[in-house]
Amino acid sequence: MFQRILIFTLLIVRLSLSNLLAQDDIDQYFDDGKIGNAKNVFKINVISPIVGDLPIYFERVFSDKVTLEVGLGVLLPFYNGDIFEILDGEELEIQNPQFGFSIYVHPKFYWQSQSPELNYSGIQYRRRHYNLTDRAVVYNDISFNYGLQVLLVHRIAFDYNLGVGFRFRTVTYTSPSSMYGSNLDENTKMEIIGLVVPWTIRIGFVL
Amino acid sequence: MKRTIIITSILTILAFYSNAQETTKKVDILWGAEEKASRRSTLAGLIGHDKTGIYVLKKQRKGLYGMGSIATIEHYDTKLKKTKSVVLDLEYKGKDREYEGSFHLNENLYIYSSFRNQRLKINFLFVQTLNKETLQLNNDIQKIAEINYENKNKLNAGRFSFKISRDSTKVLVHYHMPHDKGAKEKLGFHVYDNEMKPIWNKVVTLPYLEELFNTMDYEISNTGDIYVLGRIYKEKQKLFFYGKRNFNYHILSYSNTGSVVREYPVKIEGKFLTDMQIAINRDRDIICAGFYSDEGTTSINGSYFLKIGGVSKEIMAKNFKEFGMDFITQTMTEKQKKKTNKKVDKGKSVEMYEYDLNNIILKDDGGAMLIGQQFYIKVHTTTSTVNGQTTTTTTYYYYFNDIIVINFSAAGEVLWTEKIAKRQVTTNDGGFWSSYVLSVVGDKLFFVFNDNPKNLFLKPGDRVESFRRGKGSIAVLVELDNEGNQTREALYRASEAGILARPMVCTQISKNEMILFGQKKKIHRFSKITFK
Repeated sequence: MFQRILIFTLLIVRLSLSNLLAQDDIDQYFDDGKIGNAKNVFKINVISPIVGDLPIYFERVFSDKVTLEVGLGVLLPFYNGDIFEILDGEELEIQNPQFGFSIYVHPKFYWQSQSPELNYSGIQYRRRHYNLTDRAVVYNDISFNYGLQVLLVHRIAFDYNLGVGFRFRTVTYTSPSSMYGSNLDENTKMEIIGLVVPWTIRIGFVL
Repeated sequence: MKRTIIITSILTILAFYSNAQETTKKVDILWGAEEKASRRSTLAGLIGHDKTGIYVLKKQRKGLYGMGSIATIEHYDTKLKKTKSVVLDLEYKGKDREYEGSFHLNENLYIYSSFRNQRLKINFLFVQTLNKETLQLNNDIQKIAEINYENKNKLNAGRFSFKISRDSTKVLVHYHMPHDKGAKEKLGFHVYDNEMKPIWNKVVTLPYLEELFNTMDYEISNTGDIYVLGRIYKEKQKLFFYGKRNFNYHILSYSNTGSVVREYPVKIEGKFLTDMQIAINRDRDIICAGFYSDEGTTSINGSYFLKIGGVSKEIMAKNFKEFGMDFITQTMTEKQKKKTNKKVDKGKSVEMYEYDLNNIILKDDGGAMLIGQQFYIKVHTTTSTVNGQTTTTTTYYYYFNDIIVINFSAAGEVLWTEKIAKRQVTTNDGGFWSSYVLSVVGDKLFFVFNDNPKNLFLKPGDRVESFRRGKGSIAVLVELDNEGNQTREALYRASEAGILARPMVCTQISKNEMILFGQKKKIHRFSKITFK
């Protein structure tokens, strides 16, 4: 009797073990370090330091096709124009700026594959706030962007982005002497100053 | 007198319509119930059948622009009554797998799925059986193949495809290795028996550059040997280069568990083989048949048949025959015929355009039948300005026209050729309601397709009317006997059935039965055709 119970128990243990082992065998194929389910990407821009902007970006996946990217950056105390821009009329010279800040908002639609991978397009809003001695200058860029984001190795992402859009400029004078004859009460001006072609190359980390 | 004329006319019209209303007596139709379904859903395919009924896969587009889809497996009993419907859940521990295919083999329903592991950069293929009672996946998932796509993005991770041998005892899983510019073409094969037990597998490197080789078809013999039909391009991967045909067909075979490789260059001197289909007969000979053209032309002007010894590599039978004038002009109007005859009288060549090869059917006597269809797409772009606003509209016209059938003897001679008049033109739908479904019953061929009722009374020289999606359309049954004689009869009227047939997803399920599926707006309906 004991022998039968022992054999029966051993048989059950063996079956359970083999099931578990088989399950483990299959699980290994699905172990992608959760990259497949990644919902967040943190990125830095490798181009923008040239123009004195140091942003970090965070991209959040909301559905198979839709993500939202936001960015926050520090504007360094120097100014260079963007690499590609066609600015019409008077271009305000920004000399000796103090530290400022930049904000990015970019909803994206991944039309080729599941987000956040491969080709996407979307509308990007970029705001830069420069503090000068006698005025504050705000650049608001709205552009239609196309981009490609690929996973290089493991969790490293490469994001290439190119767009076309308009730049609006708002100047707030802090010193009356710099208004050059304008009404002191209306010390804020907002105007469209031209066409911009935002171009970025970013390296990111997928989480 | 006037009254007599009116009564006679009414009687004539009534007689005409009673004749037109008559449906075929050659088949019995069993209708399933009308089911309400989403407008975004349709039948993807019939995945199996057994003595309890049929198993089908339906897909419903979801999300923005319908880019995603939900797959549902449904079972219908022998009376075509839906007994179960279950959403196919391909999630494994929170990871989404991609549906790759399904087959009914040896009384089991196998579901194939893949998962691209982005960390390992490997695309895994899995197989799992489906519980036929619950329509849920069984807990027997197993990995059966993999493609390594290191240093490539996930869209270049290879894609799995399947082929079943004629006797359904072998399954071929084949795939292209990820694209690598400038490298030689690499193909992967995995051969399984009908219980999905592995027999052999191999990754082969072909002696051709990826950019200059295009696989057109795969075949697996009953003994598990693999045949690959490919086009080898001379310059760029283009059908024409500086106005000249730019490719040749080659057949490669892998036998004895992949250890023996044979290459069969297929050629007929002076003729350019434009289209080809291959099939493997019981003696493992390769049957190639298709269309040819004369060098330097873009159309087809005849058909050919080649039988190549599987072992000897010798051509055992070879024949080609130009399409006769009767065949070319068979479905033309009198005006078109006159125009064509004039062309011939002037010494100009008359050819056929835009025909695609669809099937090659091996006959018991060693011969074969070749079936093709005229198919092309036209794009029309119109620009209009209203109130100063310019609008551009692009319309895609999908043409699925005449079907052609060529019957070859075992020696490769053309016994007869026949053209089935058909005109289906639809816009912006990819030909959703067009094309045909074929059933082979004994030595006869039966074609079912949507048609214009006026074509039921088509006489030689009449204009072939185009099928319209409206209530007036009918599904027709065209029978082609072993002498090439055709008869066309109404199968059912769309208005009475409440649906329009979708021939592309319909299938023959037994020697004398065929399953038809139709839908209209929110209604889905199956029917079973039994040939008497």
